Amino acid sequence: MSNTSENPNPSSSSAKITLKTSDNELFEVEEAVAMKFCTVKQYFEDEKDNDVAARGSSTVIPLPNVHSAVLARLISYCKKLPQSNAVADNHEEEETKKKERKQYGTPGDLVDLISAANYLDFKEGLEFFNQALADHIQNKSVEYVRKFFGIKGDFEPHEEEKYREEYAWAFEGVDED
Amino acid sequence: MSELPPLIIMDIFSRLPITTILQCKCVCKTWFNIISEPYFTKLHHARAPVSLILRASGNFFSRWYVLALEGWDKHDSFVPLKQLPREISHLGEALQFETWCNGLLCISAYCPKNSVTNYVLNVITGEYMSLPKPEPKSDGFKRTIRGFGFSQATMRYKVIQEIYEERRPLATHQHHHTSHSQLEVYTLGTENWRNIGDLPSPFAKPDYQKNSCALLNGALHWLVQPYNNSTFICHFDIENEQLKPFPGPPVQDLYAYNARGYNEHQLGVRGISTSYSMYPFVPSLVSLKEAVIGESSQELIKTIQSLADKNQSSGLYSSIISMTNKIESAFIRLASLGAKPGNQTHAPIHYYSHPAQYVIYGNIKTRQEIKGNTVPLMKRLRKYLVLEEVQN
Repeated sequence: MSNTSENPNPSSSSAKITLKTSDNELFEVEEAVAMKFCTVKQYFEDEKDNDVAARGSSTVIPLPNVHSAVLARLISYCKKLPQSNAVADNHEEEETKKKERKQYGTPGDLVDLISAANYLDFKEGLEFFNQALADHIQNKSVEYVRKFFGIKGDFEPHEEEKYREEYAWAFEGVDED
Repeated sequence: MSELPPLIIMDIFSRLPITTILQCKCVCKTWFNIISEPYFTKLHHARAPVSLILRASGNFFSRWYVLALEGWDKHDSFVPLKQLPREISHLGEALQFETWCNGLLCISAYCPKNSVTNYVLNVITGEYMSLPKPEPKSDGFKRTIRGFGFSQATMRYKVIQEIYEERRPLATHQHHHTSHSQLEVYTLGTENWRNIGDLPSPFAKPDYQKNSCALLNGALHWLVQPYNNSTFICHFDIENEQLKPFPGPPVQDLYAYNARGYNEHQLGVRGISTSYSMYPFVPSLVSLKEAVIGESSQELIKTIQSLADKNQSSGLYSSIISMTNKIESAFIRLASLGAKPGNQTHAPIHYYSHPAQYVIYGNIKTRQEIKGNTVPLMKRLRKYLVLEEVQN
């Protein structure tokens, strides 16, 4: 990443792009970071094509679907983006990754991050936060999941009863919490 | 979560183990519908870890277990499955595992007087169907299921079986001209088996070759060694049902080749003991309705194939050996699946994972991992082939 030979012009790596969030906050981010967001990249390239602004620093890219609090977290995630999102080879690695994913807060936070990552077409982020949310649901009971997401069960009691009977084996051994 | 687009929700669900998914289905109708989408089935199946189906043979089919190879030390990784549908489970010892495709199993019930009934079932959902009986066969002929594949063109599943002379000449005899062997195909959702004609040569060593057909790129591959000729590979295209022979591996002794195959790639299939049998399997929610009406998993097949293509280094040899990338990793991991003699309660599961090789001793009953350590790669391939009886 820090290989300078790949990047003969060091000033271009520090080029900044300004992003404007839904609550009108301005974020000045490095081009390399901003280009992770395909939506931004597309916008940026279109601008270039139109020759309106060849320099990123003079462009403000509006992100009307992203709140500043969420964007700040996405950018900080981007900066410490792991080298690869490949499936962990062993359990220790997997555990480390799991812990890392846990730092991104409540399911509500994650849903916001996922929505924003989806809007920005930020693939690594989407992969990471989707997995983080999945971690929260794994092995949890139906009741827990409902409470967790504030969902009301809308099956008739006899329908649910029948289903639970049929798949009783899947309902054994869930985590208690 | 409901504010997220359905595709994102599917992606999140597809990362969950099958037990959690079955529970999520129960959370609300919206989730139930999302999880019931065929597209979701594909997504999940492509991500699902290769697992083992484990069954106790003393108590045949009374209980199935799925053991996920990834995350063996997590309690979700060893899941007792529901009982099979009563109509099938009462057949007990007569049942035999044949092969599997996209999470659907093909099993046969060998009943007295040699009548065989074949079934296709999804052990996860409990759906099953029995296949029609083929035409009566002449005396001295026997049928064996050889493959179970998926045709992309018609989006149908096909079961392939061989009909051959039961009493076969010994390898030392030169009676190959007398060997009559034909292939029959049954397409799920149709009425009858179809005979598609003579095989150039019967499957080598039929009794040992069960499940050894490799499904890759829409074709089944198997090894044939005619009695006097060199080995070749039969390539059977599931779509157009054409047979094509290819030169076989440069191995003189087919038996040795097979044995190696078992050790490195097929022991999971053949790792059978007196009390337990284990088969590799990718759990899936593929619905038989989809299988029959042929709306199923084109994308899934593509995914698996592109994985396989990437991994295909030296043409067909590697393809017959490696099958798909996903399966290969499972087979490699299963390379020395077995148990240490004399160890009555612990069934060590040895599995390989690149770059390290892990040996894990687990207690089948309590589902606890006892000990896991790394051993040098490829050291003890042939050891522990026999899984000792595990006391109940």
